[in-house]
Amino acid sequence: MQTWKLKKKVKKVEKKTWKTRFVAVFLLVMTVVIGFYDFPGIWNQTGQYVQAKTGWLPPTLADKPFHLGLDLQGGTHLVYEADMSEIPEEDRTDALQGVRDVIERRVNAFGVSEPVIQTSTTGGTYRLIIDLAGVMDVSEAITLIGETPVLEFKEPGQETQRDSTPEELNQLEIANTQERAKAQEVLTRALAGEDFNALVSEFSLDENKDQTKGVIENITGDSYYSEYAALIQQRGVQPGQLNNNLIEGEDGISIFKYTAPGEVTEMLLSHILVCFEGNKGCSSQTSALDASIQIGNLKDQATPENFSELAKTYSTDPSALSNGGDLGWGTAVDYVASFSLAAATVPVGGISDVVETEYGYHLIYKRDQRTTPAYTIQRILMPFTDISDIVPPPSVWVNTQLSGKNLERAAVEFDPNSGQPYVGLTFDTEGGDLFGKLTESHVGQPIAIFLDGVAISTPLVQQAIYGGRAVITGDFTVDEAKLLAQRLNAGALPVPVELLSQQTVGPTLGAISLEKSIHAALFGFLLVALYMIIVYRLPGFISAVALVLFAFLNLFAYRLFGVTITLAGIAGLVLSLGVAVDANVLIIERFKEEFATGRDFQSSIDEAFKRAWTAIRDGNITTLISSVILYWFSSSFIRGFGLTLSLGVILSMFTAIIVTRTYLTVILAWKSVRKPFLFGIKKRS
Amino acid sequence: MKLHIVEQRNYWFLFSGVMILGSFLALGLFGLKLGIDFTGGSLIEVQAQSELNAEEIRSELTTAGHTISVQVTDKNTILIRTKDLTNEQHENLLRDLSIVVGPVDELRFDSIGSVIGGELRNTALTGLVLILLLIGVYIAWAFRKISGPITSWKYGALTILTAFHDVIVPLGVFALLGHFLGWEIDITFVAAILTILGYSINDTVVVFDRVRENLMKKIGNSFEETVELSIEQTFARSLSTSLTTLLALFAIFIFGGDTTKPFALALIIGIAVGAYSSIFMASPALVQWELRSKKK
Repeated sequence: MQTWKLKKKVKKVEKKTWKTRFVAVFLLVMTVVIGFYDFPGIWNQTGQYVQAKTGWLPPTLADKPFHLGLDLQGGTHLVYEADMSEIPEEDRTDALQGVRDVIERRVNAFGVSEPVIQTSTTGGTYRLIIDLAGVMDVSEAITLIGETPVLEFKEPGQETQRDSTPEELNQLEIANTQERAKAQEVLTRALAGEDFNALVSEFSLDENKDQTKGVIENITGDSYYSEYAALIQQRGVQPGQLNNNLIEGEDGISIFKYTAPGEVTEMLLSHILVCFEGNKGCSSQTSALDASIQIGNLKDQATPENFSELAKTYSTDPSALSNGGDLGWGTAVDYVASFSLAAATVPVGGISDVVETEYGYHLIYKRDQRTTPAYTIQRILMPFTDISDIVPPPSVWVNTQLSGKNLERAAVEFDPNSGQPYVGLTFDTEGGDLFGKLTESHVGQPIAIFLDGVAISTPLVQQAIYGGRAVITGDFTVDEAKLLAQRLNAGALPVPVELLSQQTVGPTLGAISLEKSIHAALFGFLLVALYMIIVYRLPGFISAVALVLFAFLNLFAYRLFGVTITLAGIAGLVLSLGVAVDANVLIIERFKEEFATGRDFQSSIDEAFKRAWTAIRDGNITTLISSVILYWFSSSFIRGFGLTLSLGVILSMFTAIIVTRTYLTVILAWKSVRKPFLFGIKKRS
Repeated sequence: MKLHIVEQRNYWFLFSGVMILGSFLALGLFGLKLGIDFTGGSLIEVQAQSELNAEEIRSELTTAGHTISVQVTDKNTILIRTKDLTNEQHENLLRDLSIVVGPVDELRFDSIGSVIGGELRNTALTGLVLILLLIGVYIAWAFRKISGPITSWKYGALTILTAFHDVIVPLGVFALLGHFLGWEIDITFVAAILTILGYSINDTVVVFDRVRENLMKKIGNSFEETVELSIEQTFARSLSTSLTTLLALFAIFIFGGDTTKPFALALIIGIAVGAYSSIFMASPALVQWELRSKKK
């Protein structure tokens, strides 16, 4: 049952002593050597001191730091889950490896030192665990890792406008609240008498505010700005006075001041338009000559009575069909200059001569004329978010079946004529077929190539393209083309990944935690050692010496096996200091009992070691069971604790039994130390 | 040294009863406050350059559309708890926070998805079941050779009951700490409980081992006296082994970082209670049980 057997005959103390002494000295030297191995900095400093005194430099040791966990040096721990729903069972491990490779390339590009990327496939989930040490901009790293360059090919069409989501409405609400508050603040300042020109130039959104100072002249009830005119009339705002509330409109929130009254002439006009090829907004292919002949004929026929009928029949203005060419009431500024000028000269009830504008040839019929009051205002226009600013407008492009998954390769190529770089795409077989069909049905139309939701190229299809090759042209520099090709190649993650959890420790907290942990470890050691010395005297002191070796051995093991030291790991180490001396306590207590039964020192010691062993073994087994399970069954934090505690428990068996025993035996060879007082026991009577 | 522990066992039973009852009350009334490790969610620790006011920050950020709870941990350090955030939401929150309190240094950011939270709960349970199972095997093995006045299953049953006693007390204390100080239970707490189980069982086994030895040697005039003697013989070592471990834990509790504090405290409570129960509870209970079955 006992794995550790003791020689039964302990009489031949003298013969054994030399061997034991040798072992004791060896252990002491080992303590020092391992100590230097753990802390090479101290060795090197000693070396420099020796050099200063003697001129001889002892060999120096490489000062390799301990491998610190993210919680002690700062860094981020990310857990991603790969969505394997689209991948057949047997390919999933490969796909996960593929994701790992792509992410590794991206992380390396980010310049993180020693990134650790692990895959885990427990319980039907496919995970990537990424540890990045000392990353300052975690958010950028996450963006980089999760980046999925999406390549899409789209054809012209109209998406339907979707409804706004509750989040978007909420977002609008928040934005509007803030904008109202800001505008209110400006209004308050204006009402308090601050210089309006200055406020305009500071706050107004108006693009021409430098020239116009926000002034809008002669607003009538029919103009674009009629809202202001209506307000001035309703409220009886006087010239020079500020309107005292905010006006929310499509353009933004307005704060305005009524500067001066005026009068303008309004005309009630109808017109007939005959446009020709090349005119603004003209879809007709009539030549200029034909148009001019036609408008001449119309001029001859036109009377106030038949004007509307003629407009309906002949006018190329699309609205004429329904309104007979009616333009409604308007002032000179509402029309292009040549049109206004011609209209002004026509008497009421009269029809103008042929007028040419950028839209084509016109005939103008002036049905009525009047003067109306007009208002000149000065306005501060402030931003006001509209739902259309939040919900993206429907795209004029719709998806095709062709996408980045059909991409086999992307490469930078150069136009042989212009030397302009472009990106050549090679599709797989399926992609080649799809691209052939797509170009076939879209000759003369554009096809858009979208990268990450943005159109990067919208080439016009000249002819059907078969053979699975396409190019992305654009105003690329060579570097841009290279980057694009690289992104497309390295690009697509084989499967989408989702960030499940993120644990980030800032470098500040890391440094604080490290300092605190070192203090905790040192004080833990001191407290335990002091307790042993005070309570158990000489054997207590010896176990404290053995405890130094124990601590060094643990650190040695961390270096040897590359154990990452974490906060929890240090907690495990400190706890194992307590566990390590437990064995000594058991032995010393047993020693006292044995001594009390009348044995001499040496045989009491031997008996104590022998008898205490079962208790030590049992105690360590329960602790080992707990710590090993903690190591196997848990996340990173507990793992560190389980690991260092397991290591500590195993190493403590060595130091507490073999090391302490050797020291004790050697010391007891000295007659002068065999004093009951030094062992905390009563003299036998 | 005369301790009269067995003689005065009713006082100790009363004391333990009060502790257990109190712990159950605390657990029943308040329950444990589960941290984001188990529930999923985000925890942000930030340090600002000036003193912070939790209520002000909470209301300002709530206006900006964030649902959060804020706790000031140090004058200018706060803990923000919220649902688990995407990278973008996290950025927004930090930006809005710096608008309210000025530039901040983010000390720590944990965001645990609910998937991971659920898994951790399962892992913790699996670990617990596995440890109980293995320790059960160990107990059966440790008491395998027992013969004579007391059957081995009684030792085993009492060892497990004592372990239960030692785990309930820290659970109760943490229910109180959760309710009054907002301490949350995270995965480290589970680790502490599992470690306590190992310690507690070991402590009890050591005392029972001595009882068994003395029963076989026929030391003492009565069963009660044998048990009392066994307790007295193991008293010093039980006290010392627990004290050395507790000293190491105190060092972690006092000098260690904030994240290891609750962990160290749970271990301190568990190991202290474990040492107490192996001396004052387990062996007297053995006597009580034996005497009762003899009466029949």
